[in-house]
Amino acid sequence: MKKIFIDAFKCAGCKYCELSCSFYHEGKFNPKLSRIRIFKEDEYGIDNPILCSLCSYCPCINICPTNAFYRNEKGFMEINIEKCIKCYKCIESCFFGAVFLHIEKKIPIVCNLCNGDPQCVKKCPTKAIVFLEPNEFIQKKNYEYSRIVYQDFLNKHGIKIKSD
Amino acid sequence: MKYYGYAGKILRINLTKRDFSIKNLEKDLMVNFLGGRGFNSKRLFDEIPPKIDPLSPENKLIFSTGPLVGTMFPTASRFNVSAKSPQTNILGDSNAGGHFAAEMKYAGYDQIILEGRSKEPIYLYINDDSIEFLDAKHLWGKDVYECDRIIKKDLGDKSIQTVIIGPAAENGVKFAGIFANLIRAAARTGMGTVMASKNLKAIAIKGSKSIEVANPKKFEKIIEEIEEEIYNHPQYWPRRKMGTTRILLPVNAMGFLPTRHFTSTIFEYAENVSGEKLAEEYNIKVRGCFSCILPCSRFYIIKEGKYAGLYGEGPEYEPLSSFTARVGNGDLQVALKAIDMVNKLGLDAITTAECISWAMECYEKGWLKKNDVDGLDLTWGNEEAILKLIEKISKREGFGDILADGVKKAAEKLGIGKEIAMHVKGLEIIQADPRGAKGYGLGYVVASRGADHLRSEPFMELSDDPKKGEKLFGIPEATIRLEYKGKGKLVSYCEDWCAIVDSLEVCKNVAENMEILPFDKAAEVIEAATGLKLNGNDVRKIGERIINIERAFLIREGIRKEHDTLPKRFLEEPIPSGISKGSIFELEKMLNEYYEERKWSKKTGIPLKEKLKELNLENVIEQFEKIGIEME
Ligand code: SF4
Ligand code: SF4
Ligand code: SF4
Repeated sequence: MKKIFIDAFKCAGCKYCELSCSFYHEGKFNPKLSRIRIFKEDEYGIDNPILCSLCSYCPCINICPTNAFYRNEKGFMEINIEKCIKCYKCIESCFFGAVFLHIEKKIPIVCNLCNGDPQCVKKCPTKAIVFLEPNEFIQKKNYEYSRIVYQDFLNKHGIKIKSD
Repeated sequence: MKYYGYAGKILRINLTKRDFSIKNLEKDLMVNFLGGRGFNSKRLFDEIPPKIDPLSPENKLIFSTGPLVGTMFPTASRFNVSAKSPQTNILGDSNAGGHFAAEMKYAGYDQIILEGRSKEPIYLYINDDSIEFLDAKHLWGKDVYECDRIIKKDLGDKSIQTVIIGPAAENGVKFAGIFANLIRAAARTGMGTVMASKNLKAIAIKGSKSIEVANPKKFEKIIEEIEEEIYNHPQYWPRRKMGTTRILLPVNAMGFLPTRHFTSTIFEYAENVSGEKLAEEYNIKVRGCFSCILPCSRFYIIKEGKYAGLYGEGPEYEPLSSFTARVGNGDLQVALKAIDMVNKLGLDAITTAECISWAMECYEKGWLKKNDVDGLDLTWGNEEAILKLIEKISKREGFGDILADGVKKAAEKLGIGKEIAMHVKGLEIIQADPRGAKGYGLGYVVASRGADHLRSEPFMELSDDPKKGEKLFGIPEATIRLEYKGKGKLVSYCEDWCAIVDSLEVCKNVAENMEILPFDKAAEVIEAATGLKLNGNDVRKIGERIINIERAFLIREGIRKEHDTLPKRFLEEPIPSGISKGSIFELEKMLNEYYEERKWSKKTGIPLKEKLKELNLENVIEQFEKIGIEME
């Protein structure tokens, strides 16, 4: 199943993904209403996107006492607001801190992949987040890594790597 | 009323009394001055009486953002900060990107006005409607990086956005800046110095509110068009790879790269210190401002050599070129070190480099001797001299104390090198020789904050494409860099445009240089975001109004036609070599055309009554009459 993979080294920290997520789901601009969040530390140039990893074993789902937190038929995370009792156990349980809090409604929010058409991926200018099958992602990553490893060697022999 | 695009509130903070008020954004300000720079210039004109001491509590320090900031509009991430300048004694104003401006909007404010002066060093923590005045004794003396680290630790939140001043500002250096996201500097005209005079070390801000736009469907469509335009632009990849540093080599090739304090315009080590070199050998990743899809900032690390282990973000063309060609230094690593120091100490890189390179030329000419300059050897490019002088300036120590007032005052104090002090109205000239780019030169002459390219940025003349000049102004020469005709038209057009871009708080790299936001398009965007109905002409008129209110501020402070000039070197000494060889700057050929275009008096440089009336600036006429300024 396709999911969103992250390459933090490519992320520029522009938060365009946060803005597109908030606009798509909430109709207004507010990074604090987004289902993806970028964590930044300027001194070290850290820009790290965090969002739901669609784990196969889901502590968030398992811990939810009312079954408000569930996987829909397409396999994406959803939260049924009517059932949610705001105990925030899902927030507690997520390893990545990828369940966020809707600051206005005080309900948990989580990435639902925009039901299969992820807006943030479409809008990211650096392709730091990609929507791929695990195998596709691994392949891509392996090729990129090989290029980095060989860059110096090829340079030394006057071979220039063409960018895709 | 509901505000779209805007946050809708103005926060006024009195630092003397430690209280604050929150008011609705005035409709008049919105409709006539648009945002950011426009808001600030209007507010300064209305609320600061003429001839005050810029470092007194009477001065006001004002931060503004624009109506697109906080939305998804690409690169709408900037803020302007304005006050009367302690460096030039006229309008002070500076602009920076990063993430501060958006957070300010989310906290609910279009403008923050700081008044008075705190008795003790403090910093502000603004969290939505809660405003705290916090003790900053432990932050005083700390550099920008340390201060940011401590504030985030004190408040227990790393996601807070800050603006900070460095030790240079605290020590009263007249050209100290205000820094956002550590290195994004609102550095020109000494706004940091004003902040220090208010005993304010930093502002930390955090907000939880949302920005809504008037017509979401339309807005989304415009954003899609603009995204496409940006991604398909031929400058997209060079800019993403090198930021503004990409122009160092072309400027050198066109023969107007200020080298060794403008004694030459070609730098023999340009390759070694170019944007290309920086990108290939030092950069490790890209970074961007809020909502930027270009992103043009870069993170670098020095892997070997004396400065191995130095890392950071940036730099841009101006500091890079300033600390290389201008001071005659061909070592990129030394420049990176100098820029890192300037950022951490909180100085304006352009002014600092002008002061140092001016001293170096005086030294070469024998006007300054070793014992005048604390025993330093000021030969061109001397690493020790450059780095020591930066430190001495920031501490106001020894010879650094003399330079710390800027190059104009330094020349006056020492009684030497006045004609080679490279400034206009007290603000130091940037890294482009006006003899080699006449429109840029005219821009320095008339800019409302002294020598400044960002008020007009007439990049079009670098195209050397007569068809463009013909099409836009009916004058083919207007877009040819070494010609004179049409430059008045070109510069006033670009000035109006820049005023709009600065008021929307969008990035000039994209909106103006890459030409994605001409007046018509701006009108469309403004309407979709705010609901204000405007066409391209209306928008240009707002730009013109901003230019004129700024001119009125200058007129009130005593600026007249005779101040609209350049240092003697550019008017009398031809460029010595290269493809711009033999070119000088003939001011009169352009200035009259500019005044004509602006409808300013050709005798005095004061805007004509008829122009002020046309722009609904009757209050300027009233004020001028009250204080006895004669108008035509
Ligand atoms: S919310 Fe967290 S724990 Fe649950 S599936 Fe997503 S990443 Fe895994
Ligand atoms: S996929 Fe959709 S819901 Fe998930 S983070 Fe991206 S934009 Fe938000
Ligand atoms: S849009 Fe892409 S580059 Fe920008 S912050 Fe999000 S993941 Fe990073």
